[in-house]
Amino acid sequence: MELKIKIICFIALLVSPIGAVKEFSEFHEELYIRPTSSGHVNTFFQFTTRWHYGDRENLHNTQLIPRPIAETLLLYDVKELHIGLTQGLWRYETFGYPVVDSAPGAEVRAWFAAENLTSADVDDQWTKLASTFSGILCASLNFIDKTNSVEPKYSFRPTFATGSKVNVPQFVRYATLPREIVCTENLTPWKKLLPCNSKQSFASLLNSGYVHNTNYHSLGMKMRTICESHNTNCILEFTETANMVYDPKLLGANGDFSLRRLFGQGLNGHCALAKSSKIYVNLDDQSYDLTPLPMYNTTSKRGGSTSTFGVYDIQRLDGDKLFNIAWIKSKNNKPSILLTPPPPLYAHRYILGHGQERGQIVTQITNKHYHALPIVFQENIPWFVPSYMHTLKLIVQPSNGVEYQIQPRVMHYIPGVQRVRPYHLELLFEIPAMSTVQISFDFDYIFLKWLEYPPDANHGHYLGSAIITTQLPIGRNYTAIPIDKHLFVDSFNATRSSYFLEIRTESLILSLPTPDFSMPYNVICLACTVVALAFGPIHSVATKRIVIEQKDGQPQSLKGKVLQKLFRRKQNNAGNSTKEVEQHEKLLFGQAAADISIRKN
Amino acid sequence: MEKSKGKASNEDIADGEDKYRLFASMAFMIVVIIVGVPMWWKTTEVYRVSLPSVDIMSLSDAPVEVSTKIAIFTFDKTRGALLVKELKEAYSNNDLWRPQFVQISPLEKALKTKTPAGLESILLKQEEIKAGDFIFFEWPKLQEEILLTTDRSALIRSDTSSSRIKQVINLLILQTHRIQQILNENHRQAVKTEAPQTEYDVVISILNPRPDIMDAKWNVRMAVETYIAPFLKEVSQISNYTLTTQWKYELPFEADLKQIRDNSKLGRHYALGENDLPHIITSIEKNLGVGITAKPAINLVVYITPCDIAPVHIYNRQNKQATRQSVDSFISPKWGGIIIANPPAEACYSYNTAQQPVQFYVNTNDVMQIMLYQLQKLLDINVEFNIDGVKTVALEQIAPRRWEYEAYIRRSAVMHITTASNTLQSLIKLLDNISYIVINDDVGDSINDAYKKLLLAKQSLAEGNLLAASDYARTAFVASEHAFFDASLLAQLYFPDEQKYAIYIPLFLPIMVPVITSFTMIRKLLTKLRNAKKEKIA
Amino acid sequence: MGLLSDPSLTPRGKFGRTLAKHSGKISLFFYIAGLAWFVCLSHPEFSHGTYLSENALSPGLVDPEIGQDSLRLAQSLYEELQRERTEHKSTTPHAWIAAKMHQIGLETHVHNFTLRYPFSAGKEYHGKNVYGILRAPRVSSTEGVVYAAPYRAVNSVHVDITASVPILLAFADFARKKNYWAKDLVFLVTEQEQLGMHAWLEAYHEGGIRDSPILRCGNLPARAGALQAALNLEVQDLDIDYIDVKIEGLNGQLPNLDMFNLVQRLTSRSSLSSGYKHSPRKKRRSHRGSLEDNLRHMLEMLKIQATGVPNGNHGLFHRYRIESLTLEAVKRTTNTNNNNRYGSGLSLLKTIEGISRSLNNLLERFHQSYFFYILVQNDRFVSIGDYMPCLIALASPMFIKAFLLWLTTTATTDETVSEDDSVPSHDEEKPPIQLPYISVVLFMVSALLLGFLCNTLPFSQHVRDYFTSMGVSTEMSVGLILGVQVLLGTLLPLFYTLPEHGLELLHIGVLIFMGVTLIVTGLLNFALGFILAVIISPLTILLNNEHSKGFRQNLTRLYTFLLNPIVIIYLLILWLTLFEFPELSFAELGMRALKASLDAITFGLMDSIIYGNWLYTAIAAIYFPLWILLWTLSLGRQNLITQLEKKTN
Repeated sequence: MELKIKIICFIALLVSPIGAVKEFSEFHEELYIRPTSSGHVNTFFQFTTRWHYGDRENLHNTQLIPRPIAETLLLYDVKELHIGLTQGLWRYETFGYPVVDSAPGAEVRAWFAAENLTSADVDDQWTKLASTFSGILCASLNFIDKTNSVEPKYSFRPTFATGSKVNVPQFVRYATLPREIVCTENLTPWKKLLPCNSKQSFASLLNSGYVHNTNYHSLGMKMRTICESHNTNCILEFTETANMVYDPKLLGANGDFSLRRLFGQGLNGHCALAKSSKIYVNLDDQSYDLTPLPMYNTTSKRGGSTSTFGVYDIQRLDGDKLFNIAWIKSKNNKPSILLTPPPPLYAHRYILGHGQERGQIVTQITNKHYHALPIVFQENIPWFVPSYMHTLKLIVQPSNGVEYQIQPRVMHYIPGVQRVRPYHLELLFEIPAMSTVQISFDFDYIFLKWLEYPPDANHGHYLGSAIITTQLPIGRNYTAIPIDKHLFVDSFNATRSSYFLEIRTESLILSLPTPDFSMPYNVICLACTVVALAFGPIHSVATKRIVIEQKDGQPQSLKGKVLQKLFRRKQNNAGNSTKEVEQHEKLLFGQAAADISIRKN
Repeated sequence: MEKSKGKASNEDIADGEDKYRLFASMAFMIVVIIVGVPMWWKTTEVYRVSLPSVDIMSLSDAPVEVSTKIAIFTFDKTRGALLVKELKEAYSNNDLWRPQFVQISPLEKALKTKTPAGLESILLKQEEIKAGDFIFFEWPKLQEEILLTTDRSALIRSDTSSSRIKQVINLLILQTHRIQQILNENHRQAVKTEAPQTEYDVVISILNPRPDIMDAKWNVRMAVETYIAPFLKEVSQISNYTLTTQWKYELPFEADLKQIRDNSKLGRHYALGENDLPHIITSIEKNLGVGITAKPAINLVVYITPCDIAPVHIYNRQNKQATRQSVDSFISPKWGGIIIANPPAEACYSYNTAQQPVQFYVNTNDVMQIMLYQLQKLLDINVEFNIDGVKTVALEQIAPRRWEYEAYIRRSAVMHITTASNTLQSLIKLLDNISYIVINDDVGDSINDAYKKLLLAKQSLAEGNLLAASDYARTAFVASEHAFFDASLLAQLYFPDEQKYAIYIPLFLPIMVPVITSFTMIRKLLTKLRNAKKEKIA
Repeated sequence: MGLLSDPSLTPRGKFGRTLAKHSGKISLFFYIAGLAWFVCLSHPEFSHGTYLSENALSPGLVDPEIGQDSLRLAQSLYEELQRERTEHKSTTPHAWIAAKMHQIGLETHVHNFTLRYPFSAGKEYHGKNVYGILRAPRVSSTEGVVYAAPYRAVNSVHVDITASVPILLAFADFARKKNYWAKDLVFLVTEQEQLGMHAWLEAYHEGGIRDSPILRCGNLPARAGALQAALNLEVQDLDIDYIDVKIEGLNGQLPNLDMFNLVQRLTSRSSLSSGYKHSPRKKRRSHRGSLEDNLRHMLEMLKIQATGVPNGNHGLFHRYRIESLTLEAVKRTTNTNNNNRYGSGLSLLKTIEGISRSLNNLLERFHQSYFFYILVQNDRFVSIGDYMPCLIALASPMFIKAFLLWLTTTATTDETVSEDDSVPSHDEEKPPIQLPYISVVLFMVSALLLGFLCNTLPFSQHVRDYFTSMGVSTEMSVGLILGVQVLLGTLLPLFYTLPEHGLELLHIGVLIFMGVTLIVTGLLNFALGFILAVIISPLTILLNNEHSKGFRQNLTRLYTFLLNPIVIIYLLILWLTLFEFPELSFAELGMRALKASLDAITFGLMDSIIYGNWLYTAIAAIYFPLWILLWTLSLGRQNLITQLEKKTN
């Protein structure tokens, strides 16, 4: 579809800068700070390394790029890789759109491309790649395998370029681990991948103590290769991003904040290897006064919306005292309710129903824009949530008017198989202007094998978040970096025909029916005992014989009874076969007063 | 109940019923004993591939034997014969070495030759010399008693004694002492020198602690490809090496450097105490970056001293400068080596005067020579010795001497064999002790494979074709390691044996009792029926 | 199992016969045993002390941080709210509450719901819930905890609990400044008592997709993931005398015992006298923890559970497996020690903080401790394993008796056979087949059918519309429907005649039916099952198919008649009204009681329609048919005689 065409032209854009450039490698560090409409503060770090490594062999000799990254390119046919480790949820209504979006937990996505590459060995490489990076980032990405990764068809588009004219097969893989928890042991190795150590440079601001007290923080890593012709004259682009949202209320001090308050210390110089190290401050929110004032301001017109940024060039800074910027709520300020309208598109997801038989997963996509938008919706449901697509419904609820049902333009559905592959659903449809679409389908709650339950099983199982991609006609609170560029500064004045947007929904928690794990052995024992008890009588009934015999003149007195009992016992001891005979003829008359006794033959 | 009452009323019906009961109890027996028990056993048993345990345990009984051909050429036939005889005697009752000494009968072409090389070539035509073999040939006008070439040959003087030759063979060619060391080690548990792995990463990292003041310029790739790569290609018989280089910035030595005045241009240098070297290695090590492959790494580090602390020299414990021919470097076995590249004095002088970043072109030749030397040391291929009257031809190419290298191969082959057999034996011990470890086909295969390859390796050592032996030994080694470290051995078990019985006894005991007892009943019934028949007949 | 192989239990077996003879005594014995067992449960020997089995809760591990300023905030809010109330007499000051929440910094939303009153069509009630969500910084909105406060308008008939909203807001304000929350906090102010809460929960969990035409809840604009627990506050005043912890939920469901223990621990830490079924100090001091006290405790609990009506908004959460309870803070009546009035208010806030932080620690949802229990005291409980036996004991005689009856009937049949000495082979097929299974089953089915009608007719829209069009009031219409049914039921035995042996068979059937229903009910809602068992099972003792003297039979009939659901309800109400208005004359009493009972039935109906309380269903669909059958049995003999007469004529 028309995405494809786009990609082609992108490649053209990407490749053009290379040309005859000789081998170079450069490093940029950027920090972008923006107070959001809800009074939160969004800080976004981006460390970009670009290396024109030429031919493949040269990947053995790394300079600014960390060695492991280069080696992955050598080991696997991966051309583009995105990894996100995120804690908390990005709230689009209040925060606007992030520069880089990522789902709660861990998220990995990779493009593979090479001549005569088959899907099978891509699967193999994919798991290996994941476990490699779980080693590098100390995250449990090694749990990624076929059972939880999908192959999206429409949602993602490649941003790499294998300039070869012959079309090499391309494969994409995507997986999320929503249960993953991000903390210090991910941050430290992440920082180690930077060329400069974290004493100087912007990385010095990322202290675990402060990073993990934010309302949202997301460590990102992006790697892509841009080749002029296949595997020769290539550029490797390696970007590390850290996206955080602070809540000044929690920092104390009525809404004022500063670098020192946010990060625990001021900025300590810049990385000596960096070609540029700049801080960009969004000035759209008038209600703050900055000290010191930015060195210069730039305004960026993009997609019909204009915004101004203050820039601090740290390399031009002299003096080795820690550099600090403070945002003070201006005294003369008007009511600080901002007039930033909500973003044009946002989504929510939740589970409906009660009881543990069946439920319904509902995703609500709201379009506040005054045009219809094309939507690609992707679900990645784990195998232990058997869901039924015949119950799939797309219900449009206009902001004014009665709701009606629509059909998706394209539906790409791969049903899951238990313990083998997840359910993967992709829908293409158009969301009408100023309305909400409710995508819902039913699923069953099932029992798992008792080894398949995670630790503390009663916490519930996680469902990764759905991804919604669209092309916005306007660039309002849209800050993503254009595909053919690599720096944050490139997003200024980058007006395009449309703006490619990815948003993610909440991840869900689902409590499957959970057994009592202290039980299994007891249950087996009990069951065995019961069977054993039942067996005895059944066996005797089936194989033993009941013989009737008459009591001769039954005595009324207790003594008599006793005597008789004894007498009978004596009889028993006597041989059987003869006895039976007489019993049987006795049996012919008067059975009224007979009583029954069993005898084992 | 009613039924039984009704029917029991006459004899033959009763018999008929007896039949039914007979069948009933029969059925029970069949279901429980013939079907039930075996099924239970099958379903609860642990999957284990059968292994040649006994053979593997007896591996160490058969000692390693190595045979090599050692040819000797003398112009005087009798002398050659004598040498051979003497040497044969010397090795007659040696259970490790089975050298075959052959004499090359003198031929007239040999007399004409002017150069040793020419002679050698002639001799090689005469007698084929495989890898691992060796040839001594006489060359009258020779200063030393024995002169070892870079190939598989040595020149001897006309009066060289057999004992001297024997000494050379033991010490240099076969390196008996080291082999013995390896072989003894498997009696004591702790193996000191570990077997060479099949793959290595050779990581050459250039540290530039102060990129802001030192603008270091060096085409590392070219340097490495010209110096290191060819050498590694030469020695890649045992293990193959991948070369990678990387620059690391802002990674200083974490050691206290004492400033010491001297009469150099800068008027001072900095002393790095010998005791600090381990600390330096640890501090660097954790920042060199992880390799993403499982290969062990050999680290070769070039440290570019920033001008504010340059030059740095290593001092030994006696607080003497340990620098030899203006080279400061040290190695730590198994980990790698560090070379301190001090910038030239005038460069730093300019820095000290005007605090400007200085350009510094690293001298490729010096650094690479040292690095190569370090690498050889780390791989420990070349041997150093001093026996008076025995010399070696100086190296003119990068590759190591052939005989050194082949000794190395022989050594590592033996080492692989011993290590592999140790591993296998301990693994087998473990598996035999714990009866419910799952042994899946994969593990089973690699164990069997390792065993077979071991035998082959030993055999081909004994037959004296070295390269084949080393190949077999290496594969055996790899296979055994793989089997030993296979994760499936640690997999969680559904039922350990004790539990199995503990749980199922309450089921089987009560069920078995009535079933067993019903045997007697059946017997009775059968006899009864037989009697009945008899009566009928009578 | 022994029964399989031991044939001595036949009517011919002496044992069997003796049993059959004394079946009445046996059942009596069991009955008494059951009651005795229940009484014993009140003795400390039979109950366990409570304990927290979920370690993650670790109550009171943190020192309360909430302080005077929060209390002061609460007070000022309280005064503001009082001023607001002067304007809004009959409605909730939504705007004010929402504004406050927004000011605190919560993500505030409003939820509208509509109730179309099922009877007397057209009448609609609109309601609004206001709720604010505090998004937890630590987690991506996967889990949440609800803190709810019902708001009562000025003209409400119930106790004034205005103070709960300020307390809630004060706590919200405190919580907003903390960053350790690992679950979203939902602060919810509902109106119109349980209806509001029910509507909110419906909207949360059904998303307006399965809306019934009666209660339209719509969808919620924002959610907070899977709700883990809920705390409902009913604070009468900032100056608190004691706290009563309410736990009984819809259909007698209870919160996890851990939840209750947690609250118990924390309240006791913060120097508040509190407890389950708590009463003011003075009364409490008189008798402490005596057997009788415990028994009263248990009985009260059963009483509330049996009706299946929750005694607070918390009760509606249980259906969604959300552990919840209500803290009812009762205002201090005796105005002693004025020096620290509101001291108690602060300790209430501390308690709430403690609870919230314990719930915040919770890693898994509540699963450790008991879900089925009876509280003997605040710190002692009886688990299901211990109280179930008494229900079994009450129900078991029915099965035993049924078994014995079966034996005797078969016995009698083939005795009759064996009198004429025919060939034994002939009597094999005869005896069991003779019993008129079909007709009996038909009879039972028809009875059940009546019950079914009772259950469905009042629900059906058409019937309702019909009556409204006729202009009959709701109560009357329902009364009419049920009345007719009951009449039919009572007359059924008269014009449905059973063949011979029919009664015995029916008797067996009824006994088994009764036993099964009792036990099933007991499993679903022990209280209901138990009480029903207590009143019904005497019949098993009384009823017996042998010829009995007139007195006993009459007694049986009278008792059976009294057991008629409608009669029971009427009598109960009459009894209550007698206490309410002793001054009235008997006739007036009767009339008033009648009206009241009709209302009661209608409310039961409404409960089952709106909240899904199945008390009405159970009574109408199961116990009414059961009663019909019993009634038939009690009339049984006479019925047979008439039938004989018919034959003779």
